[in-house]
Amino acid sequence: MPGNAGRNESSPLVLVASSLAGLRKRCRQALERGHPVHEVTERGELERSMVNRRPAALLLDLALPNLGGPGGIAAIQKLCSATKIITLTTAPDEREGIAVLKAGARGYCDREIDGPLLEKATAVVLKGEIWVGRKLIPHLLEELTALTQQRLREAPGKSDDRLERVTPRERQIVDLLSAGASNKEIARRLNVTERTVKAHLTAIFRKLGLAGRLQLALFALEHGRFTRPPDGIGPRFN
Amino acid sequence: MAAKTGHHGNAMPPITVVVAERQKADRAACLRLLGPEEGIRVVGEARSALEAITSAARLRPRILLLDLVLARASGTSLIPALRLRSPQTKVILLTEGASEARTLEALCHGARGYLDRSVLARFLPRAVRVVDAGEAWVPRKMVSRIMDRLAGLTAWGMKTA
Repeated sequence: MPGNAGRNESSPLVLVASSLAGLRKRCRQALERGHPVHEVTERGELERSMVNRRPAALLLDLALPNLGGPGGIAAIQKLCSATKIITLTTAPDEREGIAVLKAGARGYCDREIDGPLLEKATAVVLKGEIWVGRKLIPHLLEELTALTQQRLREAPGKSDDRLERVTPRERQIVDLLSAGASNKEIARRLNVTERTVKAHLTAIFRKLGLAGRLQLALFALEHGRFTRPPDGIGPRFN
Repeated sequence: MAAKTGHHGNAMPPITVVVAERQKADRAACLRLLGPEEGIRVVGEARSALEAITSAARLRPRILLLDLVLARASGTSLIPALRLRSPQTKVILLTEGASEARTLEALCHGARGYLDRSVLARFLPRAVRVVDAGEAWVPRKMVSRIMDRLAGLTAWGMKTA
């Protein structure tokens, strides 16, 4: 290719989409040492270039007219699934960051990002990694945890009738144990001997099919209603 | 400045830490590294998964340093159980050459970061402060794994919705 001296011809194409000439220029300057850069200024042109040029990366100004937010990103991504999209925002914000990542973007940065950093972000994303600010990561983790827990809750076979098998007295012991009480403390609280507590525990382990104290404590925590016996069965105690 | 413990109005309350490690030497290492740190106080130690839960419930530390092996000792439910018992406690896993898959699994269940024991001396106090301040302590390459998993879970969620 003429006019691209010093760059390997096979370097991956980067598409820059923004209606702002200044922003496009900064992106070009940051990247043209290592990549062919193609600029587009509006959505229709962006869509055509995604299909025809199949760029390795797209630097996408979120303020591009008619982009239509995260939904728009997903639509753009569909035109060439191999393209790694890096979004540029006017006002970095956690919620927007999560939304664009969920829509398929691989990077989210401040539009004011300086050249060397933009070059690095592009390299990182082209390598298959994600480029986001540190502040966003705990929010991604929260999201991950919430979805994982939700999935576990929805998993079939979770309803557990083993709970119905233990007596109210045994429930008391489970509650105390999962609150961290030792056998001795449980015995004192319930005014029985430690030996009685042990006998109860053995019965509980057998009924619930659990191997030991830890499994029991986890079981009790997982099945929150354990601490409140079903209506009509025994007294309430909390 | 001496570390103040609360009743002096102008002092920040210290970051309270519980160390849950199987090995005595590992607990000692954490204590040694955090002991001299101003504004960080180790308030408890745990040697087993059960002790980790009960001491977190009792002491409500801001940070729990948790041996990954203990976190996995009982399947997947330890960290959720900890979060239930002490929701404000943030968990940092201590690992030793653990695979990405295992670490990711633990992050899925609610840990806020992880630290390999080989870099403990360099990073432990900083990791404690950073995680306490609400950030995560994970390397960049793990962020991609988190996103991939998130994408998978989200797709799954949409299919069943």
